[in-house]
Parts: sequence; structure tokens; C-alpha cells
Amino acid sequence: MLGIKNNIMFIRHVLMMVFSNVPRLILSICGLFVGLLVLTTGNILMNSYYDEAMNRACEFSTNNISVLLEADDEFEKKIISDIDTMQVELKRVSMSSESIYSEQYSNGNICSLNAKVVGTTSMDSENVLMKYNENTTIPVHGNLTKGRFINQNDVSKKNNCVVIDEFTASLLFGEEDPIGKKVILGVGNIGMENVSDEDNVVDDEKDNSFTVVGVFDNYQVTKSNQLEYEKFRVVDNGNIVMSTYIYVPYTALDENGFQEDAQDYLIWHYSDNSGYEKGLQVLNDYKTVYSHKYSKFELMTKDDMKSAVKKELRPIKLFMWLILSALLIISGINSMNTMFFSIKERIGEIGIKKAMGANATDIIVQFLMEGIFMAYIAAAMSLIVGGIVAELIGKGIQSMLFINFKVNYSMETVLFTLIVAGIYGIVFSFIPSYYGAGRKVADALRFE
Amino acid sequence: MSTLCVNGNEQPVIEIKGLRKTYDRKRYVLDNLELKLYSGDMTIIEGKSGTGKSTLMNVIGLLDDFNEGTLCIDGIEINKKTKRKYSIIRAQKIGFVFQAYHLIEAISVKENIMLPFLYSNINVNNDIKQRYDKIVTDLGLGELENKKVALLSGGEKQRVAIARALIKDPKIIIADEPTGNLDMENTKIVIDVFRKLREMGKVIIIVTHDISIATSDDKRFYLKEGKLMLC
Repeated sequence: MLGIKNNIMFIRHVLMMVFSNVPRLILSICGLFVGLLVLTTGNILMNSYYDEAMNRACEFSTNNISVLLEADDEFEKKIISDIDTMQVELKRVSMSSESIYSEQYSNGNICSLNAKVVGTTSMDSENVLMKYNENTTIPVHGNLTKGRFINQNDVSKKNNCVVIDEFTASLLFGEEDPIGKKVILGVGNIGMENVSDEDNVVDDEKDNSFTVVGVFDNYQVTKSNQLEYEKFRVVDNGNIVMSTYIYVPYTALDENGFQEDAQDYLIWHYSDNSGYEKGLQVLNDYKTVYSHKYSKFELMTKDDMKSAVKKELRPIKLFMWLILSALLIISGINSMNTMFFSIKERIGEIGIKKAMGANATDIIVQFLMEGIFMAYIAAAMSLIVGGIVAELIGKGIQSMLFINFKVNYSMETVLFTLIVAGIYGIVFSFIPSYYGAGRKVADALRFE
Repeated sequence: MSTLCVNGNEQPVIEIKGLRKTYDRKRYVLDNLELKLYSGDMTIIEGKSGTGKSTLMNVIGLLDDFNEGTLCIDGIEINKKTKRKYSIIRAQKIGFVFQAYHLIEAISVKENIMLPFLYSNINVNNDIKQRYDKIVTDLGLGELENKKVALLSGGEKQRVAIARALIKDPKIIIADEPTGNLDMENTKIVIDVFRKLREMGKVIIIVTHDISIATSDDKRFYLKEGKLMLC
């Protein structure tokens, strides 16, 4: 082993040799850079897509348990009383959507907004629930920005009140304060924005007007609809139908006959782990005993949703990794070629160093260190450029395809790139280094 | 077979017996060579171009293999078993001065001179720094320390190569045309350095066409048809 001072001298010497020939350095880094750029950009985009999907699916409080149930009221009451009557929230979601808005644009295209009406008990918590599979969506609510949520008083008095999201409020009411305004369900013919009309196909027996008492912000739904709406205004692509969720007291739904094909969700909100664990245990027992009896008895926790998302995204991730790996290998082979030529050019230098007492290992270590150092320069460049490219691609996806895509950067991406760069530098420098180290001293000196 | 023993009683630093070297198995460049060199010997080897002088230097300096015979360097027999130690022996015992200088052009004079320490377990301490200062002063390289080798003249490069050979205080110094590119003044400086080293007990082997640098105390050999002949 060399002494510490000698090691420092050696490292300094390696760095000097790396920078001694700038054209050679640039050529070597270019090959490494391309591979690492593709890896970094691909990784950022893939993680962003993954995070986006996970966020959509898993904006779910850790201490919530959700049960999707198709059963009679007696059974629902039994479960509720067995577990916890205090923490439970009922959501009754109609399977069909109600039209609440319609607009005809100057080119004749029609934009409609349909709402899944969610009957609920009081919305005390600000949890957002959404299952990844859109065939069985769970209603969403988010942070309150105006007014209030549905409360126990609304439920007991069967008030026709409604809580809507920010996009819906801006679409229906523009700049005006939506609190106190009316949303009418089942309307939405051309030119009939939120106004009851004899010519509408509205069931006269239903009171289909609901007063807005609150507005909430749900990033996912709002952003998607905003993009959809922008696309409608910018691209002549025919009619569009957007969808959202609105919340009314479930008793008002029952009263007005909107619950004919509704599905019930029971959601338990826990503030502590022990209650959560106990509740989960009881529900699992219920599922074991009763799931064969009822056509729908699904239990969902945050972990369940995450697993479902991961399972769906796994093939996509695997496919992307295959492509990235192939590109990385091709780029690595190119780098190896460049390194080979570089070492061949320096055979004389190898001969001199061996004459001075270097052995084959010293030569290999020197060139491996050079390869790793150049790989890390390429990694730093790829992280900066990759981040910019990913951001541009994300913006392009949003502006050209009107798809909500937010680019996320994480320390994980940085560490991953740095680790891969190190391995890359070692693997694709080793063979050229080994070749160089194997030259006979006299032959190498003659080469110069 | 030529048998040449110089000095009588002490252990030779370099001992060669029946050494043969060929590149193509048809003609032997070195043919049954025998040589013994002791501490304090300054040996001049002459010969026409292509007679194998550089090959002999490379073999003695463990830069190249030989096909038959024995070679001992400072008591260590050189054979296939000791092949792994070549680099250590070179690092510890042998200093080289090449005809083509073989310096690393991209780095400075100082870096080139100190290059042998990159592959050595010896820490660069004050003694070594003092040695460096003395060698640089003796060879007139003081003002060129931080200059890139690529910017030096042939004579300056030769002096740097000599400094590099001396920096680790080796027992054996092998020099191939060390004064080839030097003027008379610098030639004298270099030869004076070698003579001082000889007085310190070093073994100096010089390949040269310049017979004027030899004195009566030096051993002169002529290499012809693979054999060494005493001049």
C-alpha cells in the first residue's frame, strides 16, 4: 500500500493526466454523458409518472380504512356498531353522473361537465380518497378554500346543499362568489347553463337544485379539468365531457331519489394507531366471514392502494428499464471504444511508468480512476441537463397533449445516477485498462 | 563465450552468466553473455547501431525478458518465479536514462522527476526533498521546475531524465546515450554527476558512441555479434 502522501500524489497525478488532453477528455465524456443523460431523464420522467399515479391513487390518509360495500342497511349498521360509530363516514356514490353544465363554443363544439354526486355524512376531515382503478372510484374531497363542508345538521335536516371543487365553481360562476348560488343537477342542454327549464328532461318530482355552501381544492381533479377545458378552447377536436365530484348530504340524495344505483363506502378515520389496528382487524374478520355473501365487500387501506398502483405500474417500469439499460449498454460500449483508443495512444506513458516501478495493478488503478472521474463529470452534467430536458418534456406533455404531468426531482434520482456513473466508469474502463497494463515494458517504450 | 570478470573478491551487484536473447529464434541478439559488475564500477558499452546495446540495457534493467542463462541483480536471481517482483526491483534498485528521454510531456519537470515516488512505499520526506534540491541544483534545473516538459529543449529534457533516474538513489544506473543531446558544458556536468555517484558505490552502465567521456578507471566493452569484448 502506498503511504498517504503518495496516495495524494497519485490522485493528483491522475487528475492532471485527465485534464492534460482536453479534446480527449471531451470525447471520452461525450460518450458517457449521452448514456447517463438518457438514464437521468428517463428516471426523472418515470419516477414523476409513478409519483403522479401514486398521488392520484393514494391521497389517502394513513389512518383511514375504506370499505366498499353492497349490502342492506341493517348489515351496514351492524358493522358500524361493531367497530366504531364515532369515526365512521358514509359516502353514497351514484353510479351515473348528472350533468351540471353545458357550453357551446363558437365552432359548434359542446363542452359539458358531469358530476358524480356523492352523498355523505359530515365531512369533518379533509381526507382525499381516490382509488387508482377508475371503474371503482371513490369520491374525492380536499382542502376547503371557501365556505364549509357538509355537517351533521345538513344530514339530519336533509338540506339541499352542495360542496363543489374550484374548477366547477369557476366554470359555473366565473369570478362571482359561488357561496349561496345554485347548482342544478340533470341540466346541461345546449345554452341552458344551470337553469331549470320546462323543455329540460328534468324529473319534476325531484328537487334538483342544491345551494353551494363550500368550495374545496383538489389538485388532481382541478388540474385535469383545467387542461381538458383549455384543450377544448384551443383545439378543434369535437365535443368534450369533463367529470368531477360534488358532495351533498346523503339524506338529501335519498330524499330526491338520486340514489337508485348508488354504491356505499364506509370510511373510518382514526387519529391513533391502536384504534386503526383494532378496526382493521375487525374489518378483516368481517371480510373473511361475509365476502362470499355480498357481491361487493372490498377493504382498502393506504397500503392496499399503493400495492394496487405498484402492480399496475410494474410492467411499464420494467419496459422502460429494459430500454434504458439497452441504451446505457450501447453508450457504454461506445465509451469503452474511446477509452481503448485513448489508452493505445498512451502506451508509451505506460512503458515509462512501468520502467519507474509501476506494476500492472498500478496502471489498471490509474486508468480506472480516470474512467470513474470522467464518469462523474458526465453524471454531474447529465443531472443538470437531464433535469432541464425532463422539465421541458413535462411542459410539452401538458401544453400539447393536455395531460396533467408534473415533473418531480428527488435525491433518489441523484444518488441513482451517481451510483450508476461509478459502476459505468469502472465496467467500461476495465477492459481497456487491463489491455494497457498488459503491455511489455520494452514494447511499450518502443511504441513511444 | 566471452567471460569478463571485473574486480575480484566482493559480491557482484550485477552478475550475468550464459545469457542469450533472441527475438525470432533464428538469430541471437545476445549470445552467451557473461558479465560481473561491482559497486563503484562505471561501465561503458560501445558498438555499432543494431548490435543489441539497447537490448542488453533492457535485459539488465528488467524491461525485457531473456531466453537462456542467469541474471542476478543485487543477489536476487531473475527467473520466472521472480518475474512479479520486476517492478519492485526496478523501483528500488535501478534508475534509467533513455536515449529518447521517455518523459511525460503533459506534466512539469518536477512532476517528472518525482514520478518514481508514485509507485513506491517511500514517503516523500525532508531527506527526499533535500535530495531533490541537490539534484536539481547539480543539473542546473532550478529555473525549469514548474515548466511543462513539452516546452523544454532536448538538452534540458535529457537532464530532467537524468534527475529522474537519480531521485530514488538507486544502486544501479543504466544510461543510454545520456550525453547525446548535450553541449560540452552540460556533458561535463552530467559526467561529473556520474563520477560522483560511482565514488558513492553506484554501478553505472552507459551506452554511448562518445568515447571521450570514458577514463582509464572505467571499464569499456564492445558489443559485437551478441558478445561483449573488453576494449
